[in-house]
Formats: sequence, structure tokens, C-alpha cells
Amino acid sequence: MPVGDVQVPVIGNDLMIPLLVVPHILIAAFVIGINLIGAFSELTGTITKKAHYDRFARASARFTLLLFAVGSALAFTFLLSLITLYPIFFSQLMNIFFWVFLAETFMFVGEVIMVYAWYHSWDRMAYRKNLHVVFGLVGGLFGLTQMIFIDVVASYMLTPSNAQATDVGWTFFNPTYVTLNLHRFVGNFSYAGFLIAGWGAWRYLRVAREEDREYYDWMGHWGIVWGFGFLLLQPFMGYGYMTEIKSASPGAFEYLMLGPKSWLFNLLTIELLVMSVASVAYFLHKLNFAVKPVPRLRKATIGALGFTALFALLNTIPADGYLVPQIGLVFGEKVDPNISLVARPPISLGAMYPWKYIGLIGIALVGVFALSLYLKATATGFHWGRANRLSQYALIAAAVTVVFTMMTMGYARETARRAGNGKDGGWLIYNCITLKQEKFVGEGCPSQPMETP
Amino acid sequence: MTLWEIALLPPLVRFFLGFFLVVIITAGSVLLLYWMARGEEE
Repeated sequence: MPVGDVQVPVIGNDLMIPLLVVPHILIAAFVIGINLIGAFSELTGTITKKAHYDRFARASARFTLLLFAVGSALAFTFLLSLITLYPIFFSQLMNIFFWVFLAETFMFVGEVIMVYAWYHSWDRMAYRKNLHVVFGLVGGLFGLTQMIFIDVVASYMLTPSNAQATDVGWTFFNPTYVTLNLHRFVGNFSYAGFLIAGWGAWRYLRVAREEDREYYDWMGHWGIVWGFGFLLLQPFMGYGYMTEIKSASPGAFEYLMLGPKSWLFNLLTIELLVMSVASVAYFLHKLNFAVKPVPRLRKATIGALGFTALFALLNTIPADGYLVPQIGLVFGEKVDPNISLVARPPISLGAMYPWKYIGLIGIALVGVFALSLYLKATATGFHWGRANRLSQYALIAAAVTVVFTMMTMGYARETARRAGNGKDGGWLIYNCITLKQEKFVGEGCPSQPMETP
Repeated sequence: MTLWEIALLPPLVRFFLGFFLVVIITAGSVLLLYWMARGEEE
């Protein structure tokens, strides 16, 4: 049997990898996020002496440990599948990124040790909180560094650097390396924050004890502040990332933004709409329970909610009726994928310039405004445990949506490598190794051209 | 066309199958952990 000729029946080799990687990322990103949020929460609890923070931090440490095992098992199975199904590609990756993979492994070890120490020394170090917080923070930093190392590989696959593969330093700093790291760094906090809020809301709706209701009501608030706060940075981070993809791999950019997969970004804007409106609506509801009544802040937040919905809706308007060609959802002509972003598309309100820019900048500015009002009210405190069911459904909706957003954007980044190599093709490393691993293509590829052995 | 290629589901079916399997695997593993750890402090 030729090398790399193992075929997975029914679902195919292509689906085998995402089936393992997407659940891994959904869990791993949450682990990184909740680890850091938990550590910051413990630090805040140490400073403010409020019990909720410490209770949440301890639960975070426990949850990190529980989920870490599943996330690692999925990563391990994914690597086995990659070696078996794409041996030439994996061999190439290991040749270029051996030191990166090795360093990443040690980051995993470091994270496990620190998070275990953090969780198990909770009571023992109850009177040495300042030192104990460091365990959680260092554990989170190990997780973050692990992400930074794997981003070397992830970004290289889409935008390989023009340097030779053996030029280790320059393979690190490929065109999208920094922007991908920023995008994921912010995304981890936002993703974990929304999930914490959703979990808090779910538990709030189910618990009966007054003490627990107060705690889970607070947890919903704590999560949404992280989730929505970091979400506001994402349009800028994402824009920077896409700009780098556009200049380094223009084929992939066109495929995503103007080509057959542009529906992914239409879907993203709908997800952004749900998360933004749900968050600001939650803020508005919560202001009713401020310890010190804040009628002016509440009125301003009503306005902010209206503008959030308006800008978010503006973002959702597509440029043409050629929505999802893969399932036949097509109502009209496709805009020529080669047009400039400033050209007038069939639906003028769907044009990137100026409408999408107005929508994205608008939603971020209004979001900062709404969050600032909410945080101002937070400074004087809330009566916890009084939130209504609808506000908790808003948190759950945001949490479910953030999971789909992660899946949408993960799929977008990986499917971008489908561009420009024929109907059944695509790239494992863009412009370098084809999906079928038939040959390494010389032009634009940092390796020397060679045939598959 | 090889036997494996004949046995493959169409791309669109594989896409949706993949989507639902990802949701099931992720939600299943998290719910399993939740079920196992139930009753402890949260």
C-alpha cells in the first residue's frame, strides 16, 4: 500500500480530522479562557474580599481539570489520525516545526502541573492567597503559550512564509502569525466568558436556595462582562487578520469574502447580532436591580440597545442574493468575485464600503458605551438573585451562539485552503502541499519542489 | 472510481453529518463529565 493511502469509508478522510479537531478546539479554547478568567477572579476576590469570586475561581480550576482530559484525548487522537491519513503532510510539518511541537508539548506539561497544584492547594494555601493566585495565572499562561506555539503551525498552513522551510525564525513569523494570535487571544476570553454566563444562567434557572440564586445570577453577570467586553475587540482583530490573509493569500481571501464561502461571513454577522443584542438587553434588564437606582443610565442603555440592533442588522445585509450556492439558496446573480470591495454590489446596503465599516465600527463603539454604563452601575452593586427568566434566556442564547461562532470561524479558516486548486483539490499548506498529497508545488512553496515518494 | 469513493457519502451530506457529529461529540463529552461530577461543589 502506498504511503498515505488509508481511506476512511463513508465520511472520508477530509471529515475525519475536523471531527476530532473542532471538539478539541471548542474544549481547549474554553480551558485556556476559563483558566485565566478563574485566576483573575481569584485575584479580584483576594482584593475585594467578596466570596463569589473565590467560589467561582475554585469551580473554574475544577472544571479546567475535568475538561483538560477530554481536550487532550481528542488532540492525541487527532494527531494519530493526521499521521495515518496525511503522513507526507505531517512529515513535512514535523520537519519544519519540530521545535515548535516540542515546546508546545512542554507547555501542556507545565499547564497540567500548575492547574493541578492550583486546585489541590486551595485550602492548604487559604492564608497565602497572593502566592496561590500565581499558580492559576502561570497555569493559564502555559495554556496561552501553548496556543501561541500551535498558531505558528495554524497560520503557516494558510499563509506560509516565503522563507525556506529550514529557516526556523522566519517560518514562525509568517504573515498571519501575529494577527491570528491576537484574534484567538481575545476570542478565548470572549468565548469562555459567554459560556460562563450561559452556565450561570442555566444553573440560576434550576437552583432553589437563595444563596445559590445570588451566586449564579452574579456568575451570569461576571461571564457576560468578559464575553461581551472582549467580543467588542473582535471585529478589529478579525479585520486585521483578514487584511493579512488578503495580502499573503489573495485566493483564499476571495474564496472566503467574495467567493462560494462568503455565506460564512453572512452567518457570522447574524451570530454577532444575537450575541450583541442579547448582551446589551441583559445589561438593560440588570440595571433595574442596581443598589443605587440609575434611571439615566437605563435610558441611555435603551438607546444603546436600539443602536446595537441597528448596526448589527446593517452588518447582516448581504451584498447579493447568491447566498449559499452549496444548498441552492440563490436569488439572483453573483457579484464577480474579482470586484473591488468598493464596487457597488446588487444590494447597495450590503456593500463592504461604507456600510459594513459603519456597522462594525458602530457596533463596537455603541458596545463600549453600553458596557461602560453597565460597569458604572456595577461599581455601586446589584441586588443579586432577582433577575427574571428572560434575561437568563438571553445569556443562554449568547452562549449557544458563541459555540456556533467558533465553529463558523474555525471552518472558515480551514476551508480557505480549498481555494485555487481545482474542483476536488485544496491545499494542506497553501500553495505548497495539495490536499491529495500528490506533489509539493514549487511556486510559492517554501520547500524545494519534489514528487511524493 | 475506487470502492472507497463509491462508499463515500455526498459532500453536502458529509458536511451536515460532520456538523452534527461535532456537536454530539463536544456536548456529549461535556455532559458526561457534568453527570460524573454531579453533587460536588460547583
